Amino acid sequence: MKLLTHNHLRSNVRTATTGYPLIITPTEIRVTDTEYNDKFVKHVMQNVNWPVLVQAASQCGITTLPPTIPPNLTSDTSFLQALHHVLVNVNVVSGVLKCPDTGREFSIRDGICDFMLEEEECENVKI
Amino acid sequence: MSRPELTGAAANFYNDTEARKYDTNSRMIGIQAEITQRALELLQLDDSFPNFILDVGCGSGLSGKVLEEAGHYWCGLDVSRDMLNVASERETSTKGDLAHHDMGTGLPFRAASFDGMISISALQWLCYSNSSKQVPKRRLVRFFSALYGVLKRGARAVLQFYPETPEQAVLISECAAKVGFAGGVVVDYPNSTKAKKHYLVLSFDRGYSTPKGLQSAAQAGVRVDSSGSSKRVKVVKKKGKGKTKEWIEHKKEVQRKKGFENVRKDTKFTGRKRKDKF
Ligand SMILES: C[S@@+](CC[C@H](N)C(=O)[O-])C[C@H]1O[C@@H](n2cnc3c(N)ncnc32)[C@H](O)[C@@H]1O
Repeated sequence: MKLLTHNHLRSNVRTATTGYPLIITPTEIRVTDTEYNDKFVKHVMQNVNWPVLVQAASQCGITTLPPTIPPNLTSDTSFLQALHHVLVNVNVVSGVLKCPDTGREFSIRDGICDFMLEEEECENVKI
Repeated sequence: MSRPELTGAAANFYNDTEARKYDTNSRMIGIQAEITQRALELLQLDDSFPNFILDVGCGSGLSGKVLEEAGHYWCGLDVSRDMLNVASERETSTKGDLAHHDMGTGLPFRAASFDGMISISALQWLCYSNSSKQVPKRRLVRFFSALYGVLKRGARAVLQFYPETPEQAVLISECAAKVGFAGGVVVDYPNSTKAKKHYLVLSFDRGYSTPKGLQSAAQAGVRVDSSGSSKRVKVVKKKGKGKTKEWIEHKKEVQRKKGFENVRKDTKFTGRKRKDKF
């Protein structure tokens, strides 16, 4: 699981209010080396929840991100490269994600998180 | 054409053996790629930058591979852990991420996460119930309502699916409309039983009208999303073709073997088309 994905994930169990952000307890992290994609980082960072990314990175042992996006750095290539790295290259291979509202846990094994819910846990819908 | 949906749960059908067969079948690879390309075309993304796409029912990642080749990053969900395992072994993938998830339970993302969504050959599974708790209509509405939330405003979703009956296509469209989506079903190659493909195209834009389906079926592939190992095979009767010479000779042979003596001899007239008489 990439931190890019984590930044968008939430627990959608019926009893969660926002279910966001999921708390990461990693047991294995793998850092890959993918090519820097300038256009993608610039596009996707507009939709990144920055405080959540900072927190997620620190839960994975990366404490280099500034607490707010430095306004003068949004076109700074070395900053954007570091951001690309955190969003796309840092992978949680195994561990647990926890819903902040309900404590429901979602386990990660071989990089794949298990979001399977029982019918009783799902949101009600009118049909 | 066999319908894997009639055999039970998708996670059981797409087990390890089937997942590996699926991922290495060259006909499958070709056709899933062709469908995904068509879905991308219908999605009408802003291609001036790489998009972040949701792929629901991503399977072994054949559809994701096409997204990736088009430059996009993607997140894939699937109910079969075996399919996902095969997908995660794909070493060339650097832009995709995977999660184990049943689309009938909603979607585990915050609002406005994705620039677009595709689903290739998966949606029809939601029309079947595999336990007393699973109500197809409830699962469909829950899925579409979640989808409505996780897409960015202005984004579109394209879902290619294989309806078993016209009623299924109607049910699916109605559930999508119920949660507020505009759009409809685009049917490519409507006159070919084999190549016919249904794409549910969804948009937030009330004024959106779906494009026309493709017509010539010369190049289109048939359904190959199962390797034919399903048990409960549905026999589809060919209509209107008449009885062929081979069929008649086969029938006669069977009758002879059963010991009937009045079976007519096979001649050059057997199974010939007679003049139409009015
Ligand atoms: C024919 S495969 C297509 C896979 C991939 N999209 C491709 O084009 O190769 C259909 C996939 O839908 C998945 N599927 C079926 N029901 C599902 C559900 N309720 N939620 C998520 N995935 C589902 C199956 O596990 C299977 O991997």
